[in-house]
Amino acid sequence: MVHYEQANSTLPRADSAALDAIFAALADGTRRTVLQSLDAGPLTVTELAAPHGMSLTGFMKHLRVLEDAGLIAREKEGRVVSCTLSPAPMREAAIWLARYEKFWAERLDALARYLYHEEEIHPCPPKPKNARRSASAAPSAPPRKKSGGRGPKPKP
Amino acid sequence: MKHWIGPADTGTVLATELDVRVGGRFHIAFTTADGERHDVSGIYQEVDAPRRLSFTWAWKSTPERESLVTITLSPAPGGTHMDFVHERFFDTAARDGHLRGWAGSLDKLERHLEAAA
Repeated sequence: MVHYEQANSTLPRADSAALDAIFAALADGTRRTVLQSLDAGPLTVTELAAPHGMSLTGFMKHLRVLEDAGLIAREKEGRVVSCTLSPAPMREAAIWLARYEKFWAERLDALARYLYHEEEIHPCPPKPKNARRSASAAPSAPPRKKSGGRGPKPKP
Repeated sequence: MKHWIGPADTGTVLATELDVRVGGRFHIAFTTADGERHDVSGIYQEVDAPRRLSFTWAWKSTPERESLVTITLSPAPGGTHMDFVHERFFDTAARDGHLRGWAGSLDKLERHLEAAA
């Protein structure tokens, strides 16, 4: 998150129209699936269209939206068109979203504090294996006195 | 042409621009029942009225997938015999799709001609 904030201050801000295009392109399940399909490398239009069970005309409109947003690139070889993922513009969208990450992080921190607190008040009988691990991995966690007696004895 | 071009589920025929001469271009646009707009265009390769007409055929959405249509008309007892060949499809899916589309179109043409007769 810190990295994103730094990047945000140094990178030129994407203009509003570009962000509109990116978020609009991402606001559709078919188009998000296309992007995911391209993770592993370029695919032809035929390969991309096959799983979607829609008319080619309709599918090509989705590709056009992705292309206009700069998220895919098309390359023609004879009659075969291949599409390649071009994820760079999504970075601007990610930067925009990352500004709100702190709110989720704060919520998660609050949840974690609450859960630790609950555990302190109502300790549930932990499984021996987990108890050992959490005791060693999280020294700040409250000590669980019961756990020692239940499992096999730790090695001396 | 607006009465019969397009597959069975054609909604509205939006454009039939035909520059019927060798090297001339046509553009046809129609909607289908699903609300989708379809644009197709091509270049006339052979114009030999009233016997033979051939033209390239490519949808606007996939301009690289160019195929070829050749229509040959010959006199037959009580009417005219039409040979209709659409070839050089990109793949079998395109072939099957066009077979359905043209079947719908030619059914409508037949009904249109019967009504006109």
